[in-house]
Amino acid sequence: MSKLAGKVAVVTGASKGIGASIAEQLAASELTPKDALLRFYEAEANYMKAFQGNGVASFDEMREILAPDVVLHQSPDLPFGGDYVGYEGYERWAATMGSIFDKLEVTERQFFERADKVIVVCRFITRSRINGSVQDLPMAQVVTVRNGKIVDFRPFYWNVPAYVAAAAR
Amino acid sequence: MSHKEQQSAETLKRFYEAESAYLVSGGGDFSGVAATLDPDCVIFQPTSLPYGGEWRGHSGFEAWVKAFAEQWSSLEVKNSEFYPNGDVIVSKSHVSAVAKSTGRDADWPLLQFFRVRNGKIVELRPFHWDTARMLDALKP
Repeated sequence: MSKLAGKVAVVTGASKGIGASIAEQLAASELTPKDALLRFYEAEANYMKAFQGNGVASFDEMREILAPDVVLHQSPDLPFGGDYVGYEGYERWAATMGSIFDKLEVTERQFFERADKVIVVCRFITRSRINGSVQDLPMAQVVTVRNGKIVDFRPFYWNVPAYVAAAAR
Repeated sequence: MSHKEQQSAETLKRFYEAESAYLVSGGGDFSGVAATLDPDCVIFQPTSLPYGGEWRGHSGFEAWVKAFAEQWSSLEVKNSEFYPNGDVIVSKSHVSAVAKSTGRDADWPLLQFFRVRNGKIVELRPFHWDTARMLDALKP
């Protein structure tokens, strides 16, 4: 729980300048890492839906929950491996995933929260756009949150060679 | 952390110590590891690894540790942080190991999903950072 939970703050002049910044930080600091991640999932689902529907999607909602210097660490041997930095990095990663998979589904999420991190253990179902293969495997992910925004994602894929095979022609 | 969660974290620490001691001694006495395991325990390993698959019960677990010890001559789990939630604890740590056949050092971030009942491990599922990289270290 945030140490500010249950407290009331009135920020005067909250529509601009320092007041706005304080109001924003107070709102954000109410979010536990798990809350922040749930908000991210919602933003990501909307982003993906718009992208699939129109081929373009606004990144505004994602910006509200991701820190500008967010880093997404992907295991180096994955076909989508490497570190992706910032909003541009995140969008590039999403585009790469979209070029490899035509289905991405996360179910059975379990959350483990401590200090500024939340670990999610889930089932990750993907279908390769390249060869039609389906990967239905467990996945775990460490997400770090600072001031109500996600600064770091580190997903652990159950079986990296399975994803290498998914990208093979 | 509740008392029960604290107790589960202690079980995990004892498990790590017993596992390292077993490997360092070159195998033999499994009783230290067995003391941390429920009789119906199961461990799941990614199928890409030489010791992949499901290993059940004390004998299954011992067979897994032996299969593991054929690949890695030492194992150290460092910087463990425990994330409990009910009867499950996720351990976030860093592993250092030496490949037996090549003598190559390898280290990788690790998450382990443990289900603990009455102070004993009933289920273990490790999430290795990059199984392809581990296979590279093991390749002669």
